[in-house]
Amino acid sequence: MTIREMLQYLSTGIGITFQLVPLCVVSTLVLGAVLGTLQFRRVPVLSQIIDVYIVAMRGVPPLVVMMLLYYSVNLSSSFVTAFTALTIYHTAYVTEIVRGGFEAVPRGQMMAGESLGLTYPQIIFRIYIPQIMLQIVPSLCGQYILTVKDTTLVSIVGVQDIMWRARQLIAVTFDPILIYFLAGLIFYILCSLLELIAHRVERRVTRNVKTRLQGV
Amino acid sequence: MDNRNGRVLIQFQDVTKTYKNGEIVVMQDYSFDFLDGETHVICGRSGAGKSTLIRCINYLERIDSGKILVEGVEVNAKSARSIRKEIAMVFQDFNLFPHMSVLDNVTFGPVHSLKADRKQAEETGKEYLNKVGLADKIRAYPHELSGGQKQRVAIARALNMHPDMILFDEPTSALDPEMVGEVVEIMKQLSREGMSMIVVTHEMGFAREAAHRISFMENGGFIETAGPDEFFEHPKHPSVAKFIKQISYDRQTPAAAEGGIAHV
Repeated sequence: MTIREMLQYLSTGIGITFQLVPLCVVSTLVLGAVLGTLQFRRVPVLSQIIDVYIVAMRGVPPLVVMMLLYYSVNLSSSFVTAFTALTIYHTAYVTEIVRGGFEAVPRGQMMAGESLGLTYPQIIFRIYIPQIMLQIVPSLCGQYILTVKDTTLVSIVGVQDIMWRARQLIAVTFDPILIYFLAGLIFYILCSLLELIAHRVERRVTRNVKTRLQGV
Repeated sequence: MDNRNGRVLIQFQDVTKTYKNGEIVVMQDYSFDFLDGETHVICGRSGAGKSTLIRCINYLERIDSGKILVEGVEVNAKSARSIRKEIAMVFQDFNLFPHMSVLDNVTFGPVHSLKADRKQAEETGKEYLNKVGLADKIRAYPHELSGGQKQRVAIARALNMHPDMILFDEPTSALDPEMVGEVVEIMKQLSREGMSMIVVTHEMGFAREAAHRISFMENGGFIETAGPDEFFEHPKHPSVAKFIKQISYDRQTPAAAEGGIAHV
């Protein structure tokens, strides 16, 4: 078996990552935006529960979350289990990123919005979110690079991803070092591309938004 | 010019407001009537609670006990939004919306809060921007403006809400001295036109020229309220007399003399 064939066989497994990550980006962004807003507003009881959730996710490895979910809830497929576990884990971090973004907005913006008689949702959606949207992009990119890497865990619940394929290959070639090196290479290229995008966005944010948001 | 008609616009009734569980008293059984068409300047030492007092009027701060009535309506969580639509506010730090153009800053409130027609709001917005001398800046963003220009946009933003009263919370305190004048001039003009305003300021030039009444805040309330002549020439309370003496000393310092207006 040539290296080219090995790479080809492994790369088809990356399709799982390409399916999982966009889905996770959407789910964690939606949930993170909602929870982050609640955290910013400190809704009694609810925010305390979210606090516990965030502390828990920070201290527990994603693999453990996935295994716990796998054995405790009977989800329709291993893919759904993997998706749900990654969403639960990464939403905690996205929540923190969103909350931090909100808190970086000067308090005067809230007062100005309130003094105009705007409703709280209007202030959040039309004054806060447009201001933090671009600013939190670099942190979000960092988080989603971690999400990409965490997709390597999903073979443990039976998803036939790149790592699952790597093990199949090793069973045939008996060359784990080469196979895992190639798997690593594929992820390195993918993550580097993401990092490049993050960098580009960050540069644009620094140029356009930061000057605009300064000294107002 | 006196546009006062004697109608009470805002009424404080035995209001008490404290911070840190009563440790810091801002207002103690404080009662006062602010009048329609009146320019009322509140001065006092920093930390006296002047800003807190005016923030209670539009429910940006909550009071502990007593009542505040705005045109007869009690200020509370329920009435807050409708009161805020009638009482505009200008802040020390401008608080313009940085992601919006000058014109959008000025039309945002009318369109989203008052549900005004956008075209109409833009039209009146342009008129007010013209009034504050910024007709050529409507497409600019706040970061492209000087402090004085920002504050003038903030005043246009307040005016475009067509408010019954504007609260000014130290509108010139964050400005470089050379920009104080342009903002003060607009406030004087509004005062002449009969806009009801409560102005927390250290700008004694403005107080002397434009105010109908000046109050000095100390120990949880106004210890003295008087017309400008009486306030500056014959203050009754020793604390006020001392304050005025300090100000007139500052006015004689070269920096203040150069600016033409006392900036304390």
